[in-house]
Amino acid sequence: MNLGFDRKALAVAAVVVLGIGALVALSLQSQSQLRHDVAELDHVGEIQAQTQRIYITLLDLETSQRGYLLTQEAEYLGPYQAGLERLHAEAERLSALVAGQPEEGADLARLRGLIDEKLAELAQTIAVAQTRDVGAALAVIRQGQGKAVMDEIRTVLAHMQSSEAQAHELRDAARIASIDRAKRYIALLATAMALLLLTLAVLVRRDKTLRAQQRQADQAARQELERRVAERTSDLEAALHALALGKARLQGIFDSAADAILTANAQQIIVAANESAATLFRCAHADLIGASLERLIPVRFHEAHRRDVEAFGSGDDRARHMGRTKQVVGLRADGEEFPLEASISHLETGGERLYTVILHDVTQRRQDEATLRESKTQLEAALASMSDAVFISDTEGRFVNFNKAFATFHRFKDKASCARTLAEYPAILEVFLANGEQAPLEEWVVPRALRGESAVNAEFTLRRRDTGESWIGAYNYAPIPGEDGSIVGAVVTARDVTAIKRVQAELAASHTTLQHLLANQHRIQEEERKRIARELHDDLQQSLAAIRMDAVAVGERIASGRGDAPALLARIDRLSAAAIASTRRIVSDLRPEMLEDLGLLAALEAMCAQHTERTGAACRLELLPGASDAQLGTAALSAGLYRIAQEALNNVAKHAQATVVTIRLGCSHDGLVMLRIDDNGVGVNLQDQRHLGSFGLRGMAERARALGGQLRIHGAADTGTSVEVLVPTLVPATASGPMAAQPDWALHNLGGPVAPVPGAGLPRPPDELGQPLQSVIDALAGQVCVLDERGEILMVNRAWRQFAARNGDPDLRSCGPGVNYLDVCRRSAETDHSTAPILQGLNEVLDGRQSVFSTIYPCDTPESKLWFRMHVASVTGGLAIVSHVDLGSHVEPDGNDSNETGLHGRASKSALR
Amino acid sequence: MKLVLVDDSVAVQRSFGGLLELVPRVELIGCAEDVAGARSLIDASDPDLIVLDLELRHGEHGMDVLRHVTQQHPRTKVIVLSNFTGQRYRDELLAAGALECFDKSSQFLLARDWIAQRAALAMEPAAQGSARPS
Repeated sequence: MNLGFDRKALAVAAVVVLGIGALVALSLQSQSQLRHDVAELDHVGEIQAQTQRIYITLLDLETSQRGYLLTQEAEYLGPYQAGLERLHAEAERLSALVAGQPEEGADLARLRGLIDEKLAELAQTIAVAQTRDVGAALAVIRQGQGKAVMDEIRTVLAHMQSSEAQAHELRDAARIASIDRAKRYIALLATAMALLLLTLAVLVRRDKTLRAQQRQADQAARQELERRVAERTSDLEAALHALALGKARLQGIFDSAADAILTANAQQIIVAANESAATLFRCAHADLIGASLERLIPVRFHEAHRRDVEAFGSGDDRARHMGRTKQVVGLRADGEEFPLEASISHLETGGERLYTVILHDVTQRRQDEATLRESKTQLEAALASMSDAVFISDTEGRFVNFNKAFATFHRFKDKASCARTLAEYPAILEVFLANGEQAPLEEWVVPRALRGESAVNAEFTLRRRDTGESWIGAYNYAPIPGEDGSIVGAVVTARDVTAIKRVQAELAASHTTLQHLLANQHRIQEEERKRIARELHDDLQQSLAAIRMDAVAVGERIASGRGDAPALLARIDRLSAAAIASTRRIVSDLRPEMLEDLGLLAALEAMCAQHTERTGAACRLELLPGASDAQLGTAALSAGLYRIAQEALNNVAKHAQATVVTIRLGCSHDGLVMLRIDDNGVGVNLQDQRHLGSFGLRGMAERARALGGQLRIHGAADTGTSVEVLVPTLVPATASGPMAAQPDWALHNLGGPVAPVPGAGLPRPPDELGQPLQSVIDALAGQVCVLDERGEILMVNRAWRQFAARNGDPDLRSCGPGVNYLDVCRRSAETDHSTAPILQGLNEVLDGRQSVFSTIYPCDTPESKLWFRMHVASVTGGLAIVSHVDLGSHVEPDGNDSNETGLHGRASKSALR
Repeated sequence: MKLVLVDDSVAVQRSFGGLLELVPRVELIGCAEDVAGARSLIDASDPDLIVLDLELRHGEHGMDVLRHVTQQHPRTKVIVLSNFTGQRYRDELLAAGALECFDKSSQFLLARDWIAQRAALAMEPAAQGSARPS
């Protein structure tokens, strides 16, 4: 198309050029014609002007002749003479002008004749005039020849002029026709040109459109091309970049890799190796390159290695690890063999097969693994020996370690049946907070510890979903910090404190009762005082006042001589006697002297007699076997029993309407005293709780409890009431009473009575208990140490070290590993007697007589009194774990260790840690 | 001057009454041991003077008698003869309308003297009163 257009356009353009050439030629021809015409026209004009000039010159000659003829003056002949010359010149010029024009030649010749004729006439006349006279001259003229010549000349000139004009006109017409032709040709040509140009224009336009389309298409194509190019370029760049990066990385990895990297060819010749490889095999880098791989393998493995290589080369595996399942052994340049782990890959490049081997020295790892296995065994042994449930959770809640006590604590049959992930436990257990609300899983101790919280003696109630059994666990928990400080797990210890809690609850209840008893005793005392005061007022004071008044009256009467003084004196005597009786009664009530003087039996007999006297009911005392004052022990016991009997009889007197009352007293050989008061009255309604208070029953019961005994009341509407008291007589010589002794028991033997544990003869565990036990005790918030059977400290935890550092013993010289803890306690006991029980408990655990010893002891600081719990537990092999836990003023979990800070520096028992 | 003795101790009633026997123009017209007895006696007899103990029978208190007298018998005078003689107690009794307070064990003679003086001062109206037919 392009070419077609070019040809067409070229043809058209050629035609146009030709046309234009023709046009130019035509135009040039026309122009030259025109120029010729103009020249011809000038020629014609010149001929005409010349003829005219000749005529005028002739006229001038004639005029000059005539003027001369008229005037005779010579001066008029001047123009004639000048005119003659000029006329000749002009005639010559005209001849030249008409030369070549035959039609003019005739005229010219005639003209010349005529001019000559005229000139001749003129010259004749003038000559006549000059020589003869004017008249003659004139006569000549009158002959008219001159005139005729002149007319003839005029005619010739006119003819010449007209013929010239005519010839010109003829030529002109031919020229016009020629020009018209030319014009037509030009018009034709111009039209043709215009058409051609139009065609060309159309062609050009079409071509332009086509070209534009073409251009657009080209541009689109170019853009597409450019895009593709750019795309490929960028891909290429990325690829190149990646390649460069990969290469750089590879190089970097290769160079800086801790693992040794070797590349060998198919002939097992090392072609590349990194520095680590040289280091690993203890040879110069240069020595590796070019060496055979077999040089790095002990000889006895060469054959196996070759087989492996062949098998690998033919197999599909592009990369595989060696040594994962079997030991791969390397050989160092110095001959040492070592375990290694290798991964190998092969690559075909340009027909050559290359093997790349990455080698990792696993000597350390295998050692670590061995150590870890050993430590784990030790840890498990240590955990197994602990009576508290101990378990270690990883960050995912998997229980990586737990002991047998863990199974017992959670009511599993044995260790094997324990659930091993926290996630399984919500289906097994329900956990309740201290306030009784069910704890969501995130409030359980493992998630707490994994969040970084720690606590000591945090109590939760657990309940098995299957059996419904419920128990209380006291938990210690703490996160296990990793080397970088992040939490890598949690260690939790738990103890079933249900029994302890029950004892504590009973103790608390007992304490409350004691408070009531004391309050009641106080009330009783106050009431007694009031009663005594009233009696003193009612009886003694009034009697004495009256006696004084009477004495004054007697005096006045004697002074005035009145005779009624003896009557007054008799009254004074009566009043005095009454006052003495009152005093005795009051004193007797305050202190039953019969009880003191004659003993309980006599006092009770007297009480019976008084009751009979007061109420009329038959009241008697019945002594059961063994009842004697000697058996009744202390005065406090007698007094207590006396008061109970007194109160019971008061009740009978006030409410029972009884007719028979019996008091029975007996002593059993195992040291129990029984006092029993029976009546046959209306009986007491024990369902009516108000009776318990209103009848003084509570007071009696409290008195019985104060004696360490019990009071029982039986009542029925028809059989009356019986009140029975059972109290022990024998009281341990070392303590003031059962109530006083109980706190000691509760605090020192929290684990309950424990049978002696055989274990003194067991072999000692390895001195090194291993890092896991260390990290476990480090994770505990309290200060913990591990003792051997002689009491020597084997290891201490972080809190212990921190405490020691705070107390000026950062090197643990006075109380750290190597120091005998019993000696420390002995030294402390010399100055602080309250340490003695601790020393004893510690000895008992170390001797195997107790498995657990626990005590709570106070530390006085200038600010406050703080409490600590010391816990000693025996571990297999005669070891013992001692922990000191700061109880502060409460035992709630608080999630931090702040309760430890700054307390013990001034604590009296700080020497124990 | 008609006098009423309010005291829970019969011995004291008798002994103090014996002391008043020798005082001229004083007539002991009755004794009471508790508040109710005192009120009915006073209402019935409209005495000139009451000698009042504070601790009465059944744990009752003499202040109740004093209030009754000041409200119902404004003419009747009251003196306290009691074993309670603290200054604060005294001030309270005086504020409540008692004219004097005497200690029963040590000031009974002062009380008798006060009564005797009062009786002497009241001689004229008492004479007029006694002149009236009754």
